[in-house]
Amino acid sequence: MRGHKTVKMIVYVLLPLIAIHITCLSGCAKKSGEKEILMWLVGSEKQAQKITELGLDFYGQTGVKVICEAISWGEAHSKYLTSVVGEVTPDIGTMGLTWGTEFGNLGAMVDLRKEFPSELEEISKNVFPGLAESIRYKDSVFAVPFDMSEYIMFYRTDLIKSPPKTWKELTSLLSELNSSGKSMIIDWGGLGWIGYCPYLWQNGGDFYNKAGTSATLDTPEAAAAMKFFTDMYKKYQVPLENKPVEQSFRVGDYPIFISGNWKMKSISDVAPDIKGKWAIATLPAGPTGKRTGFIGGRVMGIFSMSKHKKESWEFIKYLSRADIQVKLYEATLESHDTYLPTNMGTWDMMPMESSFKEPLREQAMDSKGPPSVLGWDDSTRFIDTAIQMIVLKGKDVKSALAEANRELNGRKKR
Amino acid sequence: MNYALKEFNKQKASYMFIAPSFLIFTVFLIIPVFASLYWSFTEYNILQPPKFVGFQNYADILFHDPRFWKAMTNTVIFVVGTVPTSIAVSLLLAMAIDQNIKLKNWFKTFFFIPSITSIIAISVIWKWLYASGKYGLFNHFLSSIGIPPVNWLGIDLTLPSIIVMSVWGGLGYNMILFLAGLQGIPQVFYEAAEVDGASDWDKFRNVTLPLLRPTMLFVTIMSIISAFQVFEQVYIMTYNSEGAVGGTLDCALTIVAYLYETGFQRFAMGYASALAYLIFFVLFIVTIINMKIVEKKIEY
Repeated sequence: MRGHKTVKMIVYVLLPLIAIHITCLSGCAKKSGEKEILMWLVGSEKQAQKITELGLDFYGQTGVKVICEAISWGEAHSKYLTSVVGEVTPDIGTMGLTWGTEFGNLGAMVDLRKEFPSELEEISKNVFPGLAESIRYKDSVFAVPFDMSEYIMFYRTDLIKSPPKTWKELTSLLSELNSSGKSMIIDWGGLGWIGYCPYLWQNGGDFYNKAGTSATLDTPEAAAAMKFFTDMYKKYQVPLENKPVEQSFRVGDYPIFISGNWKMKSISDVAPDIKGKWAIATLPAGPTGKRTGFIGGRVMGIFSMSKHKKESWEFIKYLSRADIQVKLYEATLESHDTYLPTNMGTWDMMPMESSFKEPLREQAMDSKGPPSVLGWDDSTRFIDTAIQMIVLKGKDVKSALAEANRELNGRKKR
Repeated sequence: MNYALKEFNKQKASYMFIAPSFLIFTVFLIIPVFASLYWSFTEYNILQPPKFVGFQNYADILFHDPRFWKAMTNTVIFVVGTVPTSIAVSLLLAMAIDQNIKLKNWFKTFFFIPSITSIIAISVIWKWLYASGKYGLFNHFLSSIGIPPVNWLGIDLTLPSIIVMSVWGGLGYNMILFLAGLQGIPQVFYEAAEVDGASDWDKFRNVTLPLLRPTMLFVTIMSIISAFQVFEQVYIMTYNSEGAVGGTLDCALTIVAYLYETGFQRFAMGYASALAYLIFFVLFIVTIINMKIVEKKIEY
C-alpha cells in the first residue's frame, strides 16, 4: 500500500514537469535563424495585443517576429531604468515624450538621426510639426512619436452660443457666465505649467530661448501671459480645486472646460444624456493670433543594447505608416484607450465625425510639446510653484516668474 | 572552533529551519539597509555608478532644502494630530465595549472593519467624500443644513482632512489592542478599589491606566512610527496628473512622500537614502524618549 502511494506521488510530481517539457520542446524553441523583437508598450494590455497582431502581418512581410508586452504607466519609468541597468532592455520601448531625450542622453537609446537619417526625415515630415519639434534634442532624435494627446476646448452648444475665438471673447464669456454663478474648468494642467503654456505660446513667449541655453520666463510676453492665465482663477472664478469635470459639465455649472482629447470619450461614457449638446473647439487665439495648444503623448525608440536594431527600426517605420495607424486607431475604439495617430496622413482615413476631427486636426497643427531640454521634468515644479504662489498667495507675477526663471537656469544642463 | 562546530551539529535542525527566513531577511533587508547607508554618502542616479560625496547630501538636506523642513513640519503635525486623538478615542471605545454591553461583538467588528480595509481603498472613497463644491457627500450634508461648502482638499485643509481620515481608519486596530490589555487586568483590583470607595474616575486613573502601561507603550510607539511613515493617504489624496505628490505648494507633503518623490521619481537615490537615514534617526530618538517616559515607573 505504502509503496503504491509513493509511486503515485512521484507520478503526480513528474507529470506536470514532463508536460511542461514537451510543450517547451514544441513551442519555446525558436527556429534557428529566426529573428524576434520585443516591444514594451506603456499602456493597456489590449493595445499591446493589437500590436502583437499587427506584428503577425509584419512577420509575413519581413520574417521578423514581434512580441509586444504592456507595462503600466505607474511603474514604466523605473522599469525602463532598471532594465537599462540590468542590461535586459526590450528592443523597442514606448514611453513618455520627454523620456526619450532623458534615456538617450544617458546613452541607453539609439540616436535615430545618426543611424537612419533619411528615413527619419521621412517619418518626421508626416508627423504634426509640434511633435516633430519636441522629439529633437540638440542634433539627436532618440524616439519618434507613437501617439498623441492634445489640448482642446469643450463647450455645451445649448448653453454657449459660440465658442470664444480670442482671449477677449474668452474673458467676456467668463464674465457673462460668472454673473449666473458659472465658470470654466481648466482640467488638464490646471494651476500648473501645462495649463500655462498655451497662453505663453499664444502670447509669443516660450520657456527657453531658441537654442535652449537660457530660460525666458522673465520676458514681458511671459508675464502678460501669466497675468492672463492667473486672472482666470483670481477674477473669473475658474475653480482652484479639482472638480468632477464630466459631472459639472453635464449639469451645466461649468458649460465650458479645457482639457485633453481623452475627455471626449469619458463624457460620452459618463454623460450620455448630453449627447449632441456639446462640441469641441480650438483654443481661443492670443494677441499674436496663434491658437497654440499643448501636445503630449508616447514616443517609441530603440534601446542601444538591442541586437536587432535594423529590424526594430523597420517595425517602428511600419507602426508610423498611415494605413497601420488607422488600424490601431480602429482597435482603440473598441477598447477603452484614447489613441490619436501622429501621422498627418492617417487623419484623412480614420473614421471620426468631422465635427470632432476637424477641430482636433486644426489644433494639432498648431500645438507644441514640452521643451526638449534635459531635466525638464525636474524643472516644471518651479513653474507650478510660481503659478500657485501668484494665485493662492497673491505674489506678484513679475517676481514669481523671475524666481522660476532663476531656478530653471540653475537646473538646465543643455 | 571544534567546539563551535560540535554545537552547530547538535542544533543542525534548528539552524536549517531558520536558514530560509534568515536568507530572505539578509537579502531583502540587511543588505539593502547597509547599501543605502553607503549610498546616502554618494550621488547616485541608478544608471551611473555612485559617486562618493561625503556628508554633502546630509548638509544639503539640513541646511539648503526648504522642502525637507516643510515635509518634516507637515509630518510632525500629522503625528501630533493623529496619535493622541487616535489613542484617546480607541481607548474610550475599548472601555465602552469592555462594559459587557449588548451587541459587543457586533461593535467590535464594526469598528475593526476600517483596519482590514486597504488604506488605498479608504483614501479613494474619502477623496470622494471630501470632493469640493456640492459634489462631495460631506459638503452635501453641510449645504443641507445651510452651511456653505468647504474646500476640504484645498491648500489649508488637506492635511487636517487626511488626519481625520487616518484617525478614523486606525481606530479599530488600537481598540482591539486596548481591549486585549483591558481584559488582562484582573477583576480583583477593581473590587479592591471599590472597597476603598474609589469612584469610576479613580479606578480609571489608578487601576486601569497604570496596568495598561505595557499596552500603552506598544500602541504609542507603533502609532508614532506608522504615523511618521504616512504615505498612501497623502499619495492618493494629493497626486496630480503629472505624478507629483504633496498637493498644491506642498501643503500636505510628508517626509516619506518626499522620500518617494526624490528616490523614485527623480531617481536621486543618494539624496533619498540620506533622507531615509534622517527619518530613521528621528524615529530612533522619538522611540527612546517614549520608552523613557512610559517605562519610568515600575512594572506591575
